[in-house]
Amino acid sequence: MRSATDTPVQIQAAPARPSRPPSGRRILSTGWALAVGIAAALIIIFPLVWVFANSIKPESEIITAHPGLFSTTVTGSNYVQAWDAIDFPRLFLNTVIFAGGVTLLSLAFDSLTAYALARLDFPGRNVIFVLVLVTLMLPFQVNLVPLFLFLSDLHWLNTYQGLILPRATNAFGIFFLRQFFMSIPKELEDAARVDGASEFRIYRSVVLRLSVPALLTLGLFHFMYNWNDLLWPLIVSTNSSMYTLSSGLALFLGQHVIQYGLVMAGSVLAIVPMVVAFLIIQRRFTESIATSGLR
Amino acid sequence: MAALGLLAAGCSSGPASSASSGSSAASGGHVTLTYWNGFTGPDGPTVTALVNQFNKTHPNITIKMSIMPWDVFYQKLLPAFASGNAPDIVAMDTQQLPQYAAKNVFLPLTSYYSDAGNDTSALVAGAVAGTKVNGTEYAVPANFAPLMLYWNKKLFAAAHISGPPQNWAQWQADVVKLSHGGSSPQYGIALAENNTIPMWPILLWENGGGVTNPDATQGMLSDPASVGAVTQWSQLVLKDGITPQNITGAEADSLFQAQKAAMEMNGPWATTGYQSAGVDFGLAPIPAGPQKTVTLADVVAMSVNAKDNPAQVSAAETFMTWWNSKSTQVDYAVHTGFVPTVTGVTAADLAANPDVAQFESVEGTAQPYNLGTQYTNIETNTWEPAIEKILQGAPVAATLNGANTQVNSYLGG
Amino acid sequence: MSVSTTRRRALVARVSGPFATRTRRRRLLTAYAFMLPSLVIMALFMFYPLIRAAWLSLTNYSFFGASQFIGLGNYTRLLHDPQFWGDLGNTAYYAAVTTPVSIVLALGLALLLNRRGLPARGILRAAIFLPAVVSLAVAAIPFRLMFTPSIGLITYWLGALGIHATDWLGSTTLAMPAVIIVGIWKNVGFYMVIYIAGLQTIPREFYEAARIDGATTWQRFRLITLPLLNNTTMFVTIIALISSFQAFDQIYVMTQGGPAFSTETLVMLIYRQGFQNFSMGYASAIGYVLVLIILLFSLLQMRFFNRRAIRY
Repeated sequence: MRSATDTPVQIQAAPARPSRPPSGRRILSTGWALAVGIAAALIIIFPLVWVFANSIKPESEIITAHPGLFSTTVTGSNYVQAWDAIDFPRLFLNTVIFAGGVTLLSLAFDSLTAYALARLDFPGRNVIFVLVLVTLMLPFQVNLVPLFLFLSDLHWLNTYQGLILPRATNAFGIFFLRQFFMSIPKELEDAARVDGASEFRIYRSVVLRLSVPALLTLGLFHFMYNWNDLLWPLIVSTNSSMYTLSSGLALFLGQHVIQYGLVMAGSVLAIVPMVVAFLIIQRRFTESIATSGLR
Repeated sequence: MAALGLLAAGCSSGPASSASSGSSAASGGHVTLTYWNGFTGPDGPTVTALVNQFNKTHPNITIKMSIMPWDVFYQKLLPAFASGNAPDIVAMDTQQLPQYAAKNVFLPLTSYYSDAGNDTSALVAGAVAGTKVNGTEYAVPANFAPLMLYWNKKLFAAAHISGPPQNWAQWQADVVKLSHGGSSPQYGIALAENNTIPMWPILLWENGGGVTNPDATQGMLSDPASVGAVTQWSQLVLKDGITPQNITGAEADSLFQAQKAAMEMNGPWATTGYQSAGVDFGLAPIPAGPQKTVTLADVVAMSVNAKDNPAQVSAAETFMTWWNSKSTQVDYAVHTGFVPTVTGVTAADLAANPDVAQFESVEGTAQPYNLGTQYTNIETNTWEPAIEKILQGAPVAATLNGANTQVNSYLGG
Repeated sequence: MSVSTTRRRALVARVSGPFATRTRRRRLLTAYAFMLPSLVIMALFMFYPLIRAAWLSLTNYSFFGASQFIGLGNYTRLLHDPQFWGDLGNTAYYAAVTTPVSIVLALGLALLLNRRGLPARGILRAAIFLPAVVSLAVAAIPFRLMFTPSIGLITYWLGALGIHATDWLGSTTLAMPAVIIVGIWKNVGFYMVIYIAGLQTIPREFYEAARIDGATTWQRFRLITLPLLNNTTMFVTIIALISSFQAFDQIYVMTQGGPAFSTETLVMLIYRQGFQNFSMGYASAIGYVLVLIILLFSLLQMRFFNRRAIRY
């Protein structure tokens, strides 16, 4: 008798395969693939390389008669100045609290809702799904003013709950997880259901365990989107103690004079944590696929 | 100097002195004021330092300032007023001021101006002109900048032109001489028409035309003077390539800094950047036009929330007077390059930043770009698209006539 | 894995009869219990403001002063507003190009970077994903500078080769393609990562079996990959379309909707009418029309994909 908490077994035991040296054709096609991949990556990453290259140039050399990608003068002064000018550590902390808070809550609430929409059969399911999608279609400019007025009525302006709660669930996340849950084979859940496990138990022990890559991916997306969000934190906070990194960066864009070097350096500082997070998730991602046992 | 003495006396003795500005002050009470503005960029630290200095020297008033980018500022301000969360002091470009003043969110400041204790007669006339809506002042200048002609000495020398142009004939000849196309084009001038301090309107004014008349009650785009100015200069753009079509203010600045453009009409904030980029430039007044010599006054001014109580109003007025005192303005000007909002500042006072003195010399010819309460409709919806189309080759007279009809419909309606 | 007979009988007993009604109700309650946090938040912070915005769209609300109910006045106004129709056209142009190109490129890159044995996959994926990590307002700055002739790095290099580059952002015909390029650039890596997650759910055994049966690469792609990616593709297409209808950030930074409104989209019109002209009532009406258009397209897409859905 199997219980729902057993580790999932392999659908089909992979036969032991003798290792085979890759054929010549395989090497050639891999070579082509690599070349195309590298070319695509270089083209796509070029503007960001440009940002980095400019961040280590003195300000006066960024807009010059003879632009070059890198300059002979390398300086870290833009970074030092950007760090001091906007009280980087505090903004960083605010951004982590905001993006982190939203991500954690959103993962929890989105996955619960997605599970219901994907696996539970109840009247009104499709209606709810369409309603959820509708929230995705709202341009924020339409919602902004009524939402602001509502928060003001609640006296939630300039508070953490006002900043985080309206974002604590997200149609994108619900949609994403619903699609993912729907593509997980049902056998394990059905077996657990027949065994009498509660829905919540199934959700927690079976589905969530199998969805680690999707949850990691979604968590990264949520974190990233809120990390870069400029307008929302600025609208909700009425004093600068709750400002996030993007708002700090925006201070370098003057009305008449743009401090290019500082903007570039600040942007690099803001991107680095996200890149690190992505690289870490990447590895966990592939690890979790390997240990999930379904493949 | 007597004025300075009065101001010094007024500033240092706290609430007792605010009685002199005519309103009842809560004696000994502490007033906190919120102040929103868009002084991002290199100006920000200077403004912050000055506000901190004010807070230290005025123990009964605390100004809590929030700096944010201008587009976020305008997006926050409206809902803030609608929900009653608006700040006590707001600094905004005087081009936007009439729209807000018309909605009665700002306090009319007639009594502030008429009170001799505030020494408002020392303020630059062009700056004050920008604060008026239908003849009533709704703001006090916070910064002031006239435009001058930047010219690149090296490029001029290479084209064998001895000095900056003095009038339109020379100016138009020079821009053509200084422009050449090819794979590495050079432009005689960097003339921006969107997202910029107004440059094209100066050309219209100097020919006797304008986008609207000075009161902003009627459109002037179809006046022969306006059509003439636009025709002359757009022909130079289309035929002689004197400037790239349709560039922003930031792009114009970049062109001049990269020494790809030999001239630019710009304000004093750009001098530091150009100097460190190694551009050998000179400053000259805008060349005399056929009808007049005029330049633009770019003014940001402070307004007071109409819902503030008398104690807050008088604290705000104390701040505004302090801000426009000569010592504060000299400090501000020397660090940011803006021209002091008050007259009577000598070149010796500004020795630490000599470019400012040059800009100060043209403040008498500076006029604000005032489009009244229909600013957005006229500027963004009508004028800018019109000039953009003309610079892509559309017929001048027909486009301007159509634009003028639209302007009049906004003004009349 | 088969269920024993006694079990099956118990299951049948559960599905019908008086016990069944209670079970169905319990299932309904369970479902709503799961969805409660999300539904509450959405109701409060998304639907309630949306309804309030609907009310605004029926008035001439302009932030200050009293607003009057004008019924469908805003809606008739937008039907006659040439700016609305022009911007609708721009929005359609932007969406029609950005969506398919981004998706096809993303799928191609996902297939490429999911191959076993491809070295440095992680780094290549990170590089292509990087634009999604950067805030668009900041990323648009280098693009704007690069697209501007005579000071841009690209044009400088082209100039050294003797090629005179045109001014993209100042031309009414080239500004939109420039903005589209940036939009695609930003999102390709993002959709690629989603596709990779989807590709990883396809059991490798299927490909093995197909290869043993002699299927070509194209056949494997068409008959295994594409159908099994249906859920993912539906997701990506809907998200891509919605996001292209709402494009704002890079257009705002690069062209501000110009020159001569050639790159202005409906969302920018909403921003302009609402926050620059103070006509929030009118802006809300435009917003509602946009939502209806997006909803229509999304429903069509869902029907298209649901027909092809594979459910376990």
